[in-house]
Amino acid sequence: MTDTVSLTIDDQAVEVPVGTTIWDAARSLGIDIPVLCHSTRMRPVGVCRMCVVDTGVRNLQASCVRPCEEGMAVYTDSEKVRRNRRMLLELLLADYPAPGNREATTGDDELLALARDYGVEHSRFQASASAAPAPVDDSSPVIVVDHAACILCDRCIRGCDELQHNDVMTRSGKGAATHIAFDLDVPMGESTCVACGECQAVCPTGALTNRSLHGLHVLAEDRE
Amino acid sequence: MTAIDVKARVVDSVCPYCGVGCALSWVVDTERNRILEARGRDGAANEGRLCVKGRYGFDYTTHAHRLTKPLIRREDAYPKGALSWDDNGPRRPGGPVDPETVLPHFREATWEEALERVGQGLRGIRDAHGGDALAGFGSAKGSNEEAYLFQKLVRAGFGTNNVDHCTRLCHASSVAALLEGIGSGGVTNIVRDIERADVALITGCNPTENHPVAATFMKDAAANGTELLVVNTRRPRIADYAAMYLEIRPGTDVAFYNAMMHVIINEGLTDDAFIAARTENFEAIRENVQEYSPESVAELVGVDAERITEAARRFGRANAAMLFWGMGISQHTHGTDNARCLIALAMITGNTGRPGTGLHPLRGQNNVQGASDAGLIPMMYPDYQKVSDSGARARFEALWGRSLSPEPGRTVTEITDGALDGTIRGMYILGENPFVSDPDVEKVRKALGTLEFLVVQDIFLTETAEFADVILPGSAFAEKTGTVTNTDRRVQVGRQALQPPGESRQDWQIICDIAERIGYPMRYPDVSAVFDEFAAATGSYAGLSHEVLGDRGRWYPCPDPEHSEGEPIVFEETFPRGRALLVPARQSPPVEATDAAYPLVLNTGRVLEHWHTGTMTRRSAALHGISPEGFVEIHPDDAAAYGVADGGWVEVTSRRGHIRIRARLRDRVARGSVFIPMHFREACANVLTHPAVDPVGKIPAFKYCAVRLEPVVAEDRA
Amino acid sequence: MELLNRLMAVQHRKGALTDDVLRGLSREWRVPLYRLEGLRSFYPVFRDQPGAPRRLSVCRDVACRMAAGPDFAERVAQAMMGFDGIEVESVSCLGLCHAAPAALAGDVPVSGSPERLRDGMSGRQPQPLVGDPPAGVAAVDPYRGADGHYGTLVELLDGGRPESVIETLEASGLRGMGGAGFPTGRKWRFTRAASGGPRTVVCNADESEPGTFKDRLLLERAPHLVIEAMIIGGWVIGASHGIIYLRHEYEHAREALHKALERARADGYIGSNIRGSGFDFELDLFISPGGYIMGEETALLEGLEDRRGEPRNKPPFPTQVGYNGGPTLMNNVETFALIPRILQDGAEGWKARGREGYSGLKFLSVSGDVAAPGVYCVPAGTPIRDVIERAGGMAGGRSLYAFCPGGASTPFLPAALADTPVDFDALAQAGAGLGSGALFVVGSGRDLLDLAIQQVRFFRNESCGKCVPCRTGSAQAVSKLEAAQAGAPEEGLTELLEALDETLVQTSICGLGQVALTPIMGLLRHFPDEAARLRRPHD
Repeated sequence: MTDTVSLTIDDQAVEVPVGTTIWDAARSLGIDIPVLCHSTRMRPVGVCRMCVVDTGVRNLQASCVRPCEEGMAVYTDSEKVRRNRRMLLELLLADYPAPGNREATTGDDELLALARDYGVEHSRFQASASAAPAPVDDSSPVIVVDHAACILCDRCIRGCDELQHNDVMTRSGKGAATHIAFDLDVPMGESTCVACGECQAVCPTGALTNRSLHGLHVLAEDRE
Repeated sequence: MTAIDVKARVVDSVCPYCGVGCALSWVVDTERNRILEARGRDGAANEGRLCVKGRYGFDYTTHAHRLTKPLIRREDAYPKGALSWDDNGPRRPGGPVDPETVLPHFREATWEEALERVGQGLRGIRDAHGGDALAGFGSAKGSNEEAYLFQKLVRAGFGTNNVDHCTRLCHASSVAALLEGIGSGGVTNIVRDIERADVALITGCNPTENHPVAATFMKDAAANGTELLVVNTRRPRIADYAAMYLEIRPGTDVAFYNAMMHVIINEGLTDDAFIAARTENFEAIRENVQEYSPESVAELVGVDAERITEAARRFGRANAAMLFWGMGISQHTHGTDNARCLIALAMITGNTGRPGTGLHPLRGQNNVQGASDAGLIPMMYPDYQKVSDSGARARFEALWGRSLSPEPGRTVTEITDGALDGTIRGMYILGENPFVSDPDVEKVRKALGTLEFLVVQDIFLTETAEFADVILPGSAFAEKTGTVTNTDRRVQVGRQALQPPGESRQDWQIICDIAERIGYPMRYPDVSAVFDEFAAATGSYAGLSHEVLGDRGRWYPCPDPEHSEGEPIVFEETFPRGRALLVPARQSPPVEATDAAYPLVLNTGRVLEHWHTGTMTRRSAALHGISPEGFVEIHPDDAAAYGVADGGWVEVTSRRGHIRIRARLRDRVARGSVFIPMHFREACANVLTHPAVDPVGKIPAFKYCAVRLEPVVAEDRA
Repeated sequence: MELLNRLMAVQHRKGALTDDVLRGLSREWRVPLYRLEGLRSFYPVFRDQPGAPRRLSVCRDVACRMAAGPDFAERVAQAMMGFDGIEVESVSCLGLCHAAPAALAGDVPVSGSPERLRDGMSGRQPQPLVGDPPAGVAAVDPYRGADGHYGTLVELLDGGRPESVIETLEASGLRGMGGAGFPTGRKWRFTRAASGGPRTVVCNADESEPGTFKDRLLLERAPHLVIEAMIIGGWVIGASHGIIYLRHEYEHAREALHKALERARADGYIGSNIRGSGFDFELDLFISPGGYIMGEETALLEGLEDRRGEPRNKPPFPTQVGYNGGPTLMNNVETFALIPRILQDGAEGWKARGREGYSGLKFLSVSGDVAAPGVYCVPAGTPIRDVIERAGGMAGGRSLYAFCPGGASTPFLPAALADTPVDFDALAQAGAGLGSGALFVVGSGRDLLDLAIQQVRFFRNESCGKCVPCRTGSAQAVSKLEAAQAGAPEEGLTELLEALDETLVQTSICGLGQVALTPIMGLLRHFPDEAARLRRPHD
C-alpha cells in the first residue's frame, strides 16, 4: 500500500497523503472551493453542500469530506457545479433576513458574500414559517440569536461541543423544523451557556452576533 | 435602524486575564478610543479559542471609574483608614469601590506635584531609616518590562529586596518545591502536551473555570483517549471528562499522594532506570511512604483504598503521564509538601523530559510566570539568581550601577507584619489590591493604615488605594505594549490598542518617573529597549526581542528564535540542579481544625467570569451581568441541617470576622465544606481566611480555615 | 443503543421526557442536556409532554390516502370528538397497506372507517383488527418444521468454509432487497476483507418505505431465517455481535423475534461456542425510536450509537467503517431471509427459480387498487401485470392507470409499461426501479398528481434536516406543489422543479434527498396530463 494518492484537480496534478480531502488538496494548489459549513478549525461535516465538486461519478461530491482517490479527475468549478451551488444559495436565501446582523455590523456575512460571487441576487423560493420557537432570542447578555438567519451549518454546535467542550448547543427538531438550540431548547440566556462566544465567532451568517456591535456599522479594518 | 459608522482597526494582542495566554485581536474604534470586540487568534496556547473574560471582558478599560489624574490625599483625610469599606451584607447590592465615596478625600494634582510628593515620601524614609523600611508590591498583571523595572527600582533605587507580588498568594509553594527539587520554577511541558499523554493527573485545580481555554485542550485529549485522573475536594466540571474522579478530604493531599506512591513502589511500577539516572534520595521516599498504605489512609482521605490503588496503577502503568495542579495544592500551610509529593510522583515513574509527561503548575495571572522570571520576588534577581549569591549580586550591581543588599527581602505577608511592627514605613504598590486579595483583611487594613507613606498606582480606585497618600493613574493592558509570559513559558507581545485616558500614563514610564525622583534615573528610548535589558540579564530569555517575538511569540528557552518556536519540553537530559532531589513529606494537621464552634471547612477560589478582586471584571458590563454577586456554595444536606435555603442570606463566621452572603445549594461541594469566591468585596472571603503561611513558600492557606454558618433571620434583612 | 434504550424505557414508564425528567436524567447519567434534547426532539417516539392515555395513529400515506381520502385523519379526529383520553395523530406509512385505511390503536393494528375506528376505541365494538394477508413465506423456508431450523448454519459450522458462502452468494446474483440493490455477495466479501473492529452484523428491519410491508410479514412468520442468516454472516465476516434494528411500530414482529431469539439461544445457536464450534455470537434486538430516515444504513448506525439519526457522508461505507467505527455487515430483512434457501439450493438452483432468464425469487408488497393486497413471493422476471393478477386483479372495476414498482422512491409508470418484468435492471431500464419491492397500483379515475405530491410530502416529513438541499428543497417543493394543486401553478414551475430535482439528486447526502422529487419527475416524464396541471395554461 502506498501512502499517497495522485489525482488532478481542475487539470492540475497533485499528490497528497491518503485520506486527504479534496478540499484540502485543492487548497494546496491554491484552489479555493467555497464553503459555509466547513472551517479548518473543525471536523468537516459536509452539510451545506456548497463545496460540491464533480469527480465524474453519478453525484457531485462534497469536497470537504470526500477523500481523494488515486486517479481521480476533479472539477471544482464546472458549469454543473456552479449551477447547483447557485440553487443551494437560492434555497438558503429564500428565508434569509437580509442583510442580517452580521452584514449590517461587520459586513462579513459569508452567505451573502458567496451569493454575490455567484450572482444570485434573489431567490425563486419564498420564506416558510420559521421553525424556531422565536425568531430572535436576545436573552443572552452578549450574543443575539437570529434563528431566521441560521442556515444550520453546524459550526456553532461544533464550536460549542467539540472545540470548547461547553456542551450546550445542539440541533433540535427534525427536517424543516430543525433549529439550533441551547440545552433543552431554552433561550440562550437561560441555558448553561458560559458565554465563551465561540458560536458567534464561527457563525458565517447573521444568526449569532455580538450584541455590542448592534447599531454600529464597522467600516474598514486596518490590521496592525 | 440607523447604524453609526465606525472606523475600525484590528490590533493583535494577548488576553489580559489568566495564565493560559490566549492570542487575540481587538477591533478598535480609534475615534472613540474603545474596543468593539475581541477575536481569538491562532495562538500556540489557544488556536483561536477564547473564554468569556477574553471575549467580552474588555470594556473595563473605558469604564467611567477610570483614574485619569494623579490624586493627593487631603489633609483632613488623615489619619488614614478605609473610606468605602462596609460590611454591607444583604443591605446593599455591593459592587466595586464607588469613587463618589472615596474621591472627596483626595484632590487632583499635576503629575509634577504628585511625583514630587512620591519622591519625597519614599526618599525621606529611605534616607532616614534605610532601604529596608521600604517595600514594593508589583503585579503579575503587568508586563515583563514593568516587572523588571519595578524590581530594579526597588533593589537599586530603594536599596532593599522587599519586593514581591501575588505569586506569593498563588504558586509560591509550588515554585519553592520545584526550585528545591529540580532547580527551576517553570513548567516542564506545555499544556497542550496533554494530547500526547496516556494519563493526566489534574489535581487541586478547576481549569474549566480558571484556565478555561486550557481546559478545552484537556477535554480534547480526553475525547481522544487520554485518561484523566481528577483529584479535588470540590467537584470541578473537568471531572465529567475523567476516567476517575477522586474526591479527597480537604488538606489530605500528602497522605493521598504518599499512598499512590506506596502502591507504585510496592507493586514495582516505578521507572528504576530513571530513578537511578536522574534522581537522588529515592530510598527516603520509599521508606517514608511505607506507612501510607491505601488502607491506612482511606478513612482520613475519604477515598476507598481500592480506588486509590486503581488511580496509582493507572498512573504508574502509563507510558506517558502528566501532572497539572493549581491552588488546591499550593495554597495550604503544607503547600510545599503537597508539591514535593507531586514532583516525587512524576520522578519515580520517569514522567519528565518526554512528550506527554511532566510537571505543570497551572499559572494564574497572565504574567505571573514572567513577573517571577523578571525577579519580582524577594529572594531572587531575574532568572532566579539568588540575591544571597555574591556572583549574581556582583553582576547586577554592575548592570544597575548600585550596590545591592545581600539580604533576601520580605514576602507579601511578612511585609504586612513589618508594617504593623513599624519596620516597614513606606510602600509602592503597583496594580495589586492586597486589601481584598490577602488573608485576614482586618489585619491588612491595620497594616495599610499604619504606613507613613503609601503610593498606589492603578487604573481604578481600589480598596488599597483608599489608604494611599498619592494615587497615580496607570494604564490598562490594552493601552500599552509589552511582553507577557504564559503558563507554558510562551513569551508573547501585547500591543497597544487604546490611548490611556485623560492624563493617565503608561506604567513603565511612571516607574521611571519615580526612579528619577528618588535619584536613580532609569531612562529608555522605548519599551522594547527595556525588554532588551531584561533579556540580557535573564539567561532563559536570551536571544528574544520584541521584533523576534513577532505576532506568535516563542517558548523560552529559545536559543534559535529565527528558526524555532522554542522549547515546549525541557529537561530531557538533565535538570538545572543536575539530579532531581526527591523530598519526602509527611501528612500534617491543618493550621485550624474544625470544631464544634466552627464546624465547616472554608475553601476559597474564583468563578469563571471574575478576576481576583474584581477591579476589572466587575466593571465589565457583560461579566458583571452574568455574575453580579458573591455566594457561598454549600451541600444541600448541610444546608438542610443549618436551615439554609437556596438563594437565602447567611452569615459566615470565622475566628477573624464574619460576612453576609447568599447561599447556593450545590452537590459539587462536599458535605462539611463550603466554597466562597474571592472577588466580592462586600462579601469578602478574605475577611474569614487564616493568615498562617506555608513555612517554605510563605503562601497563605486560602484553601482551608474553619467557619460556621447561620441563616440571616428576616428582621436583619430590613 | 444504551442511551436510547434508557430514554425509551423512561418514555414508556413516564409517558413523556419532560424538561424536568431530562434534567434529572442529565444529572444522574452525567449526559449533557443538549444531547438529550437532540435525541428527544429528533425521534418521534419521544414526547416532551405526556399525551392522552390512549392514542390512535392514523396513516396519511398513499395507500390509505387513496382508500379513505386526503382528510382521513381529520375525519377520524372529528369522529373521536367527545371521547376523553383519546388522541388522534396522523403518521407516516405504518406498513399496513394491505388493510388500508389503517391505523394503530396503541400498538394494535386496526382498519376501517372513522366511525368503525371510533367504536373500536370507545369499546362499543371490538377493535377492527387487521387481518393476516398472504405472505408467501413458505417458498423461501428450506425447513419443514421447527426441528430443522438452523440446519444450514449447523452444516456450515461442521466444516464449511466462509469463502464458499460468499462465492455462492456472489454466483446467485442476490442483491440487497432494502432498496439500493447492492450485490450481497460483494458486500459480504468487502466486510470480511475489511480490517479492524469491532465487527458487527446488522439487520436493517426498519421497513418504512410507503407501501412496503414484506419485511414485517417475513419477521412475523419466519424470524428464524433472518436470525440464522445473521449468525452465518457473523461467522463469515468474523463478527461475534449482531443487532436487529426493528421498526418500533412492528409489535407482532418484535414478539416473533423475541420468541425466536429465545429459542435459538436455548438451542445453542446463539451464545458462546455455538454447537461446539468455538464460534461465539450474541444477537441484540434494538427497537427503533422511529423515523423513516433510520432505514438509511448510516442513519441507522448513528441511532445505534445514540446520536440523532442523520446519515453520514460516504465513503467510508459501513463495510469498512460502520458501527462504532468497525466493519459492519448490514443487510435488509428479506436479503437475510433468502440466504438459507440460497445456500441450500446452491447458486444454480436458486437462479433457476426465476423466470425468463431472471434469477431467484422476489417478495413484493402489493397494495392500492388490487382485489387482494398482500405480500407475494414471485419468480424474478414475472411481468408486473401478472403480479397484479396474482393479487386478485384490479379492484372496484377500475382499469390500470399507473403503478409504482418499488416504493415512493421509484417513480410511477404508466399502464403501458405493465409488461415490464420484476427485476432490478429491467425496471431501471423502464425508467423506474425495483426499490423495496412495494408495488403500488393506481386505477383509472384516481388523482395521480395528488398521490405523487403526497409522496413528496412524505419525504419532506421524513427528512432528517441535516443537509441543505433536502431540508430546504423538499419543503420548498411541497409548498410550490400545493400552490399548483390549489390551482395556481407559478410560471416556469416545472423548469424550477427540474432544476431543484437536479440539485437534490446531485448534492443531497443520502438517498432520501436524492429521490425526494422523483414522484413528480416521473409524472413529468410519463404522464403529460398530470404534468399539464403543473403548468400555467399559457406556458
